[in-house]
Amino acid sequence: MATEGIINGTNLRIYAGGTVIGNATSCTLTVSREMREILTKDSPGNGWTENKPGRKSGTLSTEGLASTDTANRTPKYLFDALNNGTPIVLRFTTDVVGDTYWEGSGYCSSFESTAAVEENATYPAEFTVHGAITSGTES
Amino acid sequence: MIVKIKIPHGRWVPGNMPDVTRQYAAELVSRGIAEIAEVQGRLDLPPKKAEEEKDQPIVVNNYFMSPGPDDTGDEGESPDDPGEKPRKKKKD
Repeated sequence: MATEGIINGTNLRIYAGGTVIGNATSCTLTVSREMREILTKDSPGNGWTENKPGRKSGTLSTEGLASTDTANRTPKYLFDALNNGTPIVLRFTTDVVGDTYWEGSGYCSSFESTAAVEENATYPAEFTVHGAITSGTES
Repeated sequence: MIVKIKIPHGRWVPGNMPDVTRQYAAELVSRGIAEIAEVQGRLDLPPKKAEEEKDQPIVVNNYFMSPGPDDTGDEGESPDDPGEKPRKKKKD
């Protein structure tokens, strides 16, 4: 049954290759479309720019607390994905039947590991989607 | 969906409980690698009941509402403030 009401952000997660990224504290899906500005001397009006939709792109980013013994995806997995240039099937979903999901194949394009004294070690990472991002309903 | 690993698979060892997509979980279960875990930790907890709202006592501070007999009319001056004492005239 689809999630009722406002979706709890905790339940929306990034699954990399079918397994969730472990100990995530936040994740973001960004889909953008650039606009082709059109402005010529023949354009109507007084200098108002017209826009037409252009190229589309998407990224998925996440941040989590670093752990090596989680059964889910670890920071090492993300580093290896970046280092090897391995394409990963990425799914942004609650994994609840009836809810919307977004899916695409992408590469890990950014990985960090931060460690401050007496604070949790964290690992922000970003995936750049290669090709189309599709959306559907979990069934 | 959280599954419980039954036999070693990749870096998973029996007893691991990874969170995987339902499609992947079905694949792992069909291959005998995992079983659906009894505890699905990601499910939302039932919402907490809203606390009853109680009327808060309102204390009105009206100490300075009316001018006192010694009020000089200067704002910000306390009625208890004796104000500036009159200076004594110097004797010539």
